[in-house]
Amino acid sequence: MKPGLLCDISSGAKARFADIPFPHKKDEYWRFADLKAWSADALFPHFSGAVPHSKPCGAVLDVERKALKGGALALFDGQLVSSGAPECVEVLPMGVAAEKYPRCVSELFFSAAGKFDTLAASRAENGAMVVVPDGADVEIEMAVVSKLGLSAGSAIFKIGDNSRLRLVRSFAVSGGSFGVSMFGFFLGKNSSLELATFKYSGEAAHSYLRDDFSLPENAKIIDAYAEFGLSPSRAERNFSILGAGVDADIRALVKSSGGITHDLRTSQMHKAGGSSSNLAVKCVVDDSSKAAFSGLVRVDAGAQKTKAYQSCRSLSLSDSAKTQASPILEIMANDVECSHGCTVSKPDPDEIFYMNQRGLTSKEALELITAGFSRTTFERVGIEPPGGV
Amino acid sequence: MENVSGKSMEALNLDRSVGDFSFAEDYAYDAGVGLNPDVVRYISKVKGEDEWVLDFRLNALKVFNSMELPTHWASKRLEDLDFSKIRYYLAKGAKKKRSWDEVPEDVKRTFEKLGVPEQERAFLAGVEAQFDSESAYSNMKEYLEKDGVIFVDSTEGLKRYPEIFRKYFGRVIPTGDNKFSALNSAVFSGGSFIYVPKGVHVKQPLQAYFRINAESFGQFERTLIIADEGAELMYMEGCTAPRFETGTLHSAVVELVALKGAKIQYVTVQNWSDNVFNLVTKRGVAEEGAQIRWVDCNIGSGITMKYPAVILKGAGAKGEVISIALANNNQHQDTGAKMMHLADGTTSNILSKSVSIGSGRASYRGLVYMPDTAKNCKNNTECDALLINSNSRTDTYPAIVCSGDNNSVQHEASVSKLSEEQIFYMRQRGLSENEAVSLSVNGFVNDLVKEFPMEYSVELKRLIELQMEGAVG
Repeated sequence: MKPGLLCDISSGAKARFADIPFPHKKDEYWRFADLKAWSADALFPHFSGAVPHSKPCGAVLDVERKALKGGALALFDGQLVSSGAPECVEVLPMGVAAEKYPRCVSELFFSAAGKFDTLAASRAENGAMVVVPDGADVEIEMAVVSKLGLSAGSAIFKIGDNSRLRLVRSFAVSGGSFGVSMFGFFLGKNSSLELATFKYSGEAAHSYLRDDFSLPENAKIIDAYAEFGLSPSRAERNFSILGAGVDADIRALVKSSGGITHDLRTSQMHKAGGSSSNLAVKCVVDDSSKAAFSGLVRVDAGAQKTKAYQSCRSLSLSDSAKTQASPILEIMANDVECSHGCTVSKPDPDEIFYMNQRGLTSKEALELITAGFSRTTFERVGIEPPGGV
Repeated sequence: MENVSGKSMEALNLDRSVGDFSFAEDYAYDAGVGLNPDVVRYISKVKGEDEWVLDFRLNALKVFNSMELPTHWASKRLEDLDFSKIRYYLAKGAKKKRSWDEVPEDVKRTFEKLGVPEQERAFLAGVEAQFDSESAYSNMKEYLEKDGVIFVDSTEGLKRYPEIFRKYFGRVIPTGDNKFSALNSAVFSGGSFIYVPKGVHVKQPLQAYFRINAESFGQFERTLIIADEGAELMYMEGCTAPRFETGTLHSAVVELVALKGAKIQYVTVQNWSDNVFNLVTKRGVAEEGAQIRWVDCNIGSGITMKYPAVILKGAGAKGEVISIALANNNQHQDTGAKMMHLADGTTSNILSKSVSIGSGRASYRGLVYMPDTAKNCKNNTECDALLINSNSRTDTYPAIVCSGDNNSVQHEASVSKLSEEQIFYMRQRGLSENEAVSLSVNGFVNDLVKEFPMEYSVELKRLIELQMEGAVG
């Protein structure tokens, strides 16, 4: 790699990676996580390319096809294979971006402090940057495909002042692959981002994603995030509210089945007052799977007139399904409205009985309840959740 | 030397020998500072304990030394504790009598405002080792003995009733549960051992306060309460008046055992002075159909870490934690609750209210656990926080682990500030800003204060008013 910023990021991260321990019991940020799935033993086969590719699943293949077809923005194992985007939008490989927009690139990658975001930073050259100019109104579709044993693909979105970006992201991690991604969204003043994310993975894979959102004054974000993978995943999504008038509507749907754990961590950091954020997480947990959620709302001293809400609702479809939730509030300002709620329950037998009476089988009734439960996540981004969800 | 009531100390000392529940005062035992096996042996010897108790203590010391402080999630302030500078045992006789003049002005003022009787003031301030309430206790003791209720201090309990207490001692909270339970297990002294026989309902609350044992307010109390099948009791410890203490560490262990159908209610009001680390482990086991209720109020101490727990072991058991915390300047009240639903049809309820004043920080930290081996369990958790000043802080760290058939958990938390409209309304009607604020704060905690026994709730209200002084404006 050419000497320069990217080289510094990547060699620094490589050096740090070895010193950062794998997630362990005493690491509060990994509390409730399936530590076994994220241990050196579980991950080493990916590093050495020893995990055989399992039978590809339909959703993963769909995303792969989309990535290869062109027309969309596509990262294939970190390589920018297609830069489909409206004309006014600048799409750059990360190497070029580091020279042109060093501030964004360093801000994102130098913030990596955990084991796996550091891993993503150690391959910072695998990725792309998208720059939306001031005052634009654009829609972009993006596919991120992981096929290699260890596949890193990161991206930075810089959205100009008064701009609007609608982005539909799909992640596909093939069976046998360990997909690592770090995304940074730098919004401009008065800009808005509508973001829909769908994550799929095959069996015997691992996926790690970190999303950072930097929200200056009057930035708006409507976010819908869905995790449908068949193998263990971890998503860390950080919303940093830097100015007044920010409105962040964050919704997530996590569906766990097949005995695996999907792990979602969020943070809503209110560093300035006069803004609002609302997080709604829904989990549908089947068989012996687990959903782990930990969300932090922090209101810094002086960030008065903040409104921050957080909720986590989990639907258990089986007796051995497990939900572990930890919604955290840390509040250092008094003139705020903050709350969180958390519920875990199984589908209401009365509702199933009602539907049975009207001719639906119990299975259909359950599907209907699950669909109704999941729907709200995608309501504001105007996308119907994919079938079978 | 004269104390506040004007009587000479000698006269009071004479009084102390009267009555059937005071300890000999003429011994002077001091285990010195620092902690090592010799200190533990010394404590055990002084107390005339059996061999097994000494072994228990020595083993606990080993466990204590091998454990690390829980700093990965807890306050870093714990690191300020220097275990080598703490005095682990100081029997009353050797306790230096403090003169009334040495008691800080603010403590005296608080007594005044709370309306604490004068003799009690002397006792609470550490000027006097006990106060004269033997008659009250004698009456109670007679009535308890009639029903076969055992209400003694920990040393006496282990010595006189090993067949009852040994079975449960250290079983609810094992020595190695955490570093501070290990410490307590090594050096415990004081605290109450209570046994209520089958079907006995103790109608009056049992109060450590009236057991007139200076040690009952000691640094390392050990309390074990066993309610046999169908028995009921209410136990109260602590008091609303500030405890003026020079010791920096208070680390108690409280174990409750509610056998089938029994009910235990444990009420604590804690108001240690703000140099105290209050690190307490409290846990109860509820067998089939039993109920355990912790009512907890934390007002004092520099840092409190206390998470009363109920292990719902038998079907249909019920656990409840009701908690009020007031964190004033430089205080950190890190309190919460833990509910382990291990049997079918168990229910639990957690209600927590905290008020942060000035730079005070109140945290709720809780765990609700329902494994897939239990079904039809329900939990409800509500945490409300009130922030008075712009630099006040509150945190909520709940953890929920839920699986199993028809188990449901709900958790809600909210944060609010004083309503300006309310304050304005009250000021219009002639209340000063302070009065208005304390009325508003009292209103906020009112529904929980009602859960406290009458005399406590009256004092609590006054105390809240006191805490609010100077908080606004």
